[in-house]
Parts: sequence; structure tokens; C-alpha cells
Amino acid sequence: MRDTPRISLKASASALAVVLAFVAAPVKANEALVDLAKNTDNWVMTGRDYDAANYSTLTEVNKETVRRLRPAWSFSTGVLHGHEGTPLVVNGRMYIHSPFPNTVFAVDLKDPGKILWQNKPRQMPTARTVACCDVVNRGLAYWPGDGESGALIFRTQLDGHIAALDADTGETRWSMENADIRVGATLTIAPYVIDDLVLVGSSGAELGVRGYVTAYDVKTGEQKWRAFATGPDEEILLGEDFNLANPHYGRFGLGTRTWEGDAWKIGGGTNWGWYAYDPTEKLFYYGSGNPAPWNETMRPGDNKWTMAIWGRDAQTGQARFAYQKTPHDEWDYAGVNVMMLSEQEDKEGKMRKLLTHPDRNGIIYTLDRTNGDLVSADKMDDTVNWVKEVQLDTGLPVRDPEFGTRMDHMARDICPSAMGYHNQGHDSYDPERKLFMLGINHICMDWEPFMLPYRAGQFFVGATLSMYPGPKGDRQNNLGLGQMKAYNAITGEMKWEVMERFSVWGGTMATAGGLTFYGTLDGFIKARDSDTGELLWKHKLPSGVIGHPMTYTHEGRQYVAIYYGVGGWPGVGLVFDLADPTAGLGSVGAFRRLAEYTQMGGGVMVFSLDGEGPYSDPSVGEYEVIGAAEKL
Amino acid sequence: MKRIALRLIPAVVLAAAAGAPALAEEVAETPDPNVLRVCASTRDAPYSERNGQGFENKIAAVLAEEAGLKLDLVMIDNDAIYLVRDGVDKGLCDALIGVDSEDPRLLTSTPYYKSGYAFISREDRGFDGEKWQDVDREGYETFALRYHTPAETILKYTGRYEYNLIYHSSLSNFEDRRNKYTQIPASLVVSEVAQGNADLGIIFAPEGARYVRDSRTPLKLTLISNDLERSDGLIIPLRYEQSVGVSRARPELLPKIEAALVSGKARIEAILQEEGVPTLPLS
Repeated sequence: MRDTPRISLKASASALAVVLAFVAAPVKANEALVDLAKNTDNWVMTGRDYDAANYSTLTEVNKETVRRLRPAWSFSTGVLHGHEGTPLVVNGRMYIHSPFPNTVFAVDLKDPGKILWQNKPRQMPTARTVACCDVVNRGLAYWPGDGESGALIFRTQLDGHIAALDADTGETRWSMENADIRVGATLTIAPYVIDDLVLVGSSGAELGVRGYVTAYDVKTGEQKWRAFATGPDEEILLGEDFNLANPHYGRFGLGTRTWEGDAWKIGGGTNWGWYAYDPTEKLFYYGSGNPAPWNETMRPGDNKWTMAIWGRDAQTGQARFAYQKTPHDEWDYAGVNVMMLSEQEDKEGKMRKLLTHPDRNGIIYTLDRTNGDLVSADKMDDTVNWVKEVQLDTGLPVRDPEFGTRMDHMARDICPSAMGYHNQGHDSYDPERKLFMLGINHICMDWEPFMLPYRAGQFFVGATLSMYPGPKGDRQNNLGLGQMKAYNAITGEMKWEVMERFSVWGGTMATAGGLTFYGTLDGFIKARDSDTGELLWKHKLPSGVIGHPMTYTHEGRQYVAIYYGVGGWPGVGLVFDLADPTAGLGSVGAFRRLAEYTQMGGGVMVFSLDGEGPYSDPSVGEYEVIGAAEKL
Repeated sequence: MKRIALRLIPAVVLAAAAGAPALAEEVAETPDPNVLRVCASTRDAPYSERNGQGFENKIAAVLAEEAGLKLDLVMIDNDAIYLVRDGVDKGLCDALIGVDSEDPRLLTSTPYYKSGYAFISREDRGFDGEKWQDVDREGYETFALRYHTPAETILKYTGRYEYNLIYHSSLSNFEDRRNKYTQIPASLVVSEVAQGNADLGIIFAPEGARYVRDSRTPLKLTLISNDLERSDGLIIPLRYEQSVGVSRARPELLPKIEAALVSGKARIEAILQEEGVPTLPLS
């Protein structure tokens, strides 16, 4: 690994910044972001606000009016690959990101037909071959600026760089190498701004990358701290009070002791999902992913702290708690999934600050986010079978050996499959209804381990994976691979649930209009009644969806936007034209019918009631003939 | 005039066959007693390559001729590690030319040569190690090897494995190794040493011999003289006897192979010698 990170810093003494210094007293960035997020004109981060609840108070589009939702305008990114995450909207502009080559575009919401600026980084083309599961990117982050410096847009690049772009001009202010592509480390996560720090995760566990989260100074790119998922405590950054409230989760020395020898050095535990932040507790939350190497027989032990829910101090990186959901993972249940924050009364009627995390392993966990207490752990679907239950007192999953992946055992119908019942989708929480709106994969798998000896002491341990719809799907026709559900974390009940043809891969958005929006792999954006699940509206997009919807107001009108562009893990067969059903760890077989419904694409589609918007006045954005009057 | 038939079985057919045993039986044919069906890989240089090249395919031709059989070389378009599962067990062929003498999946002939893991170094480095522990030397940091071999164990037991992991990934273009057989070509292990990118190569000598022989930079190949004892007491041998493997379904072939190994001994030794394979006395 590189010792001295490369920094390229361009001087940016803009006149604007100087002017700002006189008008505004410095406001902490997170306070400014909280304020910006309160204004429905903005969607300042991938989860809308620090709660990562993807919930909007907007009501113009509601159960009655949603039928009138029509496209207002659209934008093509020019990239035909999986488009994850959402665009950001801040101060009248939309910032749009793309998968590799990770171009960023800014458009003015008044006239989005003209690109204000675009920034396409130069990247090592090898990044494409290193990425495991399509060349996706999950989004951008916005820093509002202060007295010294103007606003910035942060972008991660597949080749492992994090870059700060001037939000006004698109100029690259600095670029840092967060992960070395030459070591197989890529970057697909959306960066995350807290105060004057930008947080970035890491990808590449499949190649043995040891996962970490890093904080950089927003203005200079200087590294402030880096916290690993495995290894010695001082490198994992464990606070003195780490897991004090729940010592049975494990406390010190486990990042090395739960591994054989030095295996923690290549132990995985990257984080490429989503962050959430509690400005009062000063903690941010995220999940670390699967241990490496992939084959569990090669890494005896619990493999801490992979597969954990983390609460860390944003300023220091010190962990207050970590809860390992799947000790010694055998299924590739990488738990990087979204953390949604809510404040609710628990079963005893006590108001608590909670975080809710629909994990890849099929369990949806709710923790007290101040100390890590496990409040509930429910199966997202009753077909989850690798685990009988999660004991709330010990935090441990009670496994069913029938659905384990041990060497001498051909396991049939393990639910969920390696893709999880919930993957990277960014879901939502409706605080009015106290419901989490979950987009779910309904996929199970057969797992046939094999050990192939070869000559001279060589051998290879692997498994043949086949994936197919879960028991509630149509296994004969290989459809019925997804579900939509509305979950109450306190009662553990599903208010409603419906089946979908394919996985709901991208996530959901809930609104005070009583609607839950989401996109489907076969290319629809849909709106359901949040109370009943009834399908109220849908629209066919040019390509399948793996991102999540967002909404904003502009000049008093509510818009709903979503990326289209099929790809990601479910799309690898389609995107790379693979035929072997066991390829993509079985994804190719599971999604073999996807190509009958959609093809590649890439862009943003923006909707409003009756399609009203910037171009309702057809003169907007028209070519103006200079000197026309003189000619007349 | 050698009587050789060459058939190519694509990997796609094999993948389909792996999922459906019934199909594999359709693929299998009734064996012709006058034909020696040998499975060989298209990607196993220097043993076997596309178009039937490779020193083991030369040995196959010798054995067939000595046994008075027509050679049917069944080229499996996949890595050699799959030859037993996807070739012999599927009834596509009856023999493999190079297997460990103790491979329990096959009937094995009397060993016809013995070799071992070896260090490959540039002659100008003056490396004189010959025990596996000798990788732990001042100035020796980067080691080229092939995945899934005891060479990895050697690095683990000398504390050099993690440091080299990234380098090894680069030798296989960072290909995703999740549940996937990924391999570093033997020729690359040798050329990395020749170019000075690696301080030392660790490889099963028959796999590196040809490239050492042909290297423009003078290289030295040293057989490792001791075995490796794991912390759990298990001995990992670093020297292996090689036999011809015969399908358990075709036991009548074994005596013919044994006889051919005897009558063709000199010709086989000549092939190994030309290849540059260092051999050890058979026990």
C-alpha cells in the first residue's frame, strides 16, 4: 500500500468566498446541512437527511393526485451501466453522478436542458476489471461551504480516489487516493459529510482488501483518521467505553484473536453501503461487510469486526459500539446495508433513539443508537432459514445446521441467497405511520461445496451456487424474486406486503402524501399507498432501476426523480452478457429472465403532476437569435 | 505416423454437464478397447496447452504408441484441476498423464518420476537457500508463486504471505477470486523473477523448468530439500512422485500403461530432460 497519498490541490481563492466571509458568521457544516435538509427544495444527501430515512414531508403528490404524475424532464448520463443512489438537489441545482467513468453533471432546475458543468475524472481503466459487481457508484455528498471556502461536491471514483469539486464551477479542488486500485481496492460508496469532514468507505473484500472508513478534511483532503474493521484495537479505533453497555458483544483484542494467525490482515470487512449520523450523540452509523477470503473454511473464528453495525464518533473515529450480526459468515451476507434512524417508544413505552438496519442475512435489526442495545431482530420474511432466531439477550443468531455451508454438506434452499434478502437498497421510514418501507429480494440458493485436489499438494475449495426465487415466488418460471413490505420495528409486524417480479434492489422513498415510491429492475417507477400497499401509479422507464427515488420542490412544485440504468449485481448477467447460470455467484441464473424485460440505459427521469415544469413555458431554453430585431 | 485424434470439449458444455448428470451420460461414449482416451487441459502450460502442445501430451503419445493404442486426446477447455471431475468422472476419458501417485480418485501407475517444489532465483543474486525456511532472508521480500500450492503455505509460515498478497493479485490482474479458480501462469512466475520484479519464485519444478531453461536472464532452479510441518502436526510434502492416473471404471487399462511406462522409459526420460525437469530418485 502507498505510504504517502497523492494530493493535488488547486488554489481557489474565489472572490465569492471573500464576500461570503463578510455576510455570514461561520456555521458548522452539519448545522447548515440540517437546515438545508429541512427545506423541501433540497435533497442534500443520498438519504435526504442525517436520519437516512428517505422521508419527505411533501404532500402535493399524494394518494389522490399521484395518478397525474407525468415526466417533466429527463437527463441521460451517457453511461450504460447500473445507476445506484439518487441525484442531489441543492439551491436550485441538481447534481447528477454516473457509474464509471464517474462523471458528475450540474444542471439548473430552471432550465435543466443546459449542463452547467460536468467533471469527468481521468481514471486507470483497470478499475473496470477490478470491480466485482458492475461498475456502480452510489452517489455524491454536498458540503455547504463556510466563510473561507465555497460549497463543494464530493465524488468517489472506482479507481479508489475521492475528489472535491467546486459546486459552482465543477473544478476539481483536490483529489486523494483513498484506496489503491493496484491492491484491488475500489470505491463505490457515496461519500458522507459531517461537520468539516468527509467520510469514505472501501470496497474490494472479494480480493482480500482489509476494510476501513476514513475521514478527510473537506477543504484540504488531509486524512484525519482511519478506522479498520479488523486487526489491533488501536487500528480499529476502539474507545475506552467500547461496548461498555453490552460487554457480551465482545470488547477488546477481538480484531486479531478471532482470526487464525495474521489472517485479519486480509480479512475484508469493507464498507460500501450507507451512513447515518446523529448530531446530538455525535455518532455516525454504518455496517462493515463480509470477511475474506470468501471461502469460510479458510478463515476459522468469528472474524471480528466484519459483519458489524458500528456507532463511531465522527470527529475521532473512535467506536462506541459494534454489534456483530453474523459471526463467522458462511454465506457472503455482507452487512453494509442502510441504517435508518428513528425515535420511537419501545415495547415498554420508553422513548428511544433507534437505528434500524435491514441486513443482507434476512434479519432486520433495531438497536438503541446511543449504546448499541439490541431492541429487536426480526426475520424480514418467514422463509429465512439459516437462522432460527436471534437471541435478544446474547445477540447471537441460533443457526440451523441444515442450511450451513460446511464442506461435507450439500445445502438446498438456503434462504436468503448470497445476494441477501436485502442488499444495497436505501429504504425509507415513515414516522407518521411508524413503518419502514422495505424493498426486498426473495431469492434462495443451493450451495454445493467442493474440494478439488490437483497434483503436488495443490487443491481448490469452492462451491457451486444456484439461485432461484424463494418459496413464495414462481420457481417454475423463475419469477417472483422480490417483495415490498411495510415493517413496524416495535411490534415486529408487517403492515402489508406484496410480491414483485424481480428484486426491489434500489430502495424506497416514503412521503407525507401517504405514498411509497420505488423503482423495479424491470424498469418501472411505482407508487403504493403507504397504508395498504395498493398500487396507485407506475411509469415505464427506459431501463431497469437499482437506485432509489427522491423528491424536491422547485418554485413551489413537487418533483419526484429517479435514476434508471439496470446493472449492479442482479444485472451482471445482462450487462456482461453471461450465460453460465452459476456465474456472478449464481446471480446470472436467478436473473436470467431480466433481459426479457429491460436492456441497459442510464439517466434521470423527473416527474411532476401533469408533467408541469420548466418547459411548460415552451420559450424556456429556446435559441435566441441575436440581432433578430434589426433584421426585421 | 502418429495416430492422434484431438477433440475439444468447451467449458460451457462442462458447466451444463456439472448441473445435470443425465446429460453427462449422454456425452459419454462406449470406450473403444483400441483407443487410449487422455484428458488434457487447454490451460495448463507447460504440461498441456491448446492444440495438444505440452510435455505431458508428448508423454501421452509415447505411452499410446508403446501400448499399441490410438491416442484420443480429449482437450478440456478449463483448468486442469477440473480434469478428474469434468473429464474422467464424466466418462469423457480414461487416463490423466500426470497425477500424484497417491491420488485416491484414480488408479495410479507406478511413479515414473519424482520432483519437488523449487526456488527460482536470478543467478546474479547468488541465492543459496535450499530449505523452505530460507525464503526468510534479508533482501528477499517479493515472491512469485502459483495460487493453491504449498508455496502459499511456505509464505504463511515465514510471515511473508500478507505482504505479498497484493503482488499476487496483480499477477492475476486482480481477478475476482470469490468462489472462482484463479491461477497465475507458470511462465509468469519465472519471468517475474527474471525481470527482477520478484526476488524469488517458488514453484513445482516441472511447471517452471521450461521457462528457466529458456530464460535470457540466467536463472537458477533449486529443489527444496525438506518438508513443511504445519502447526497442527500435519506434514505438507514438498516433493511428489508423479504417476499416470487411470479411471476406476477402466482397470484393464492399468497393466497396459504399466507396460508402456517400462518399454517407453527412455523416451519419457528424454522428454523430461529436454523440458529441463530436475528429478529425484524414485523410492
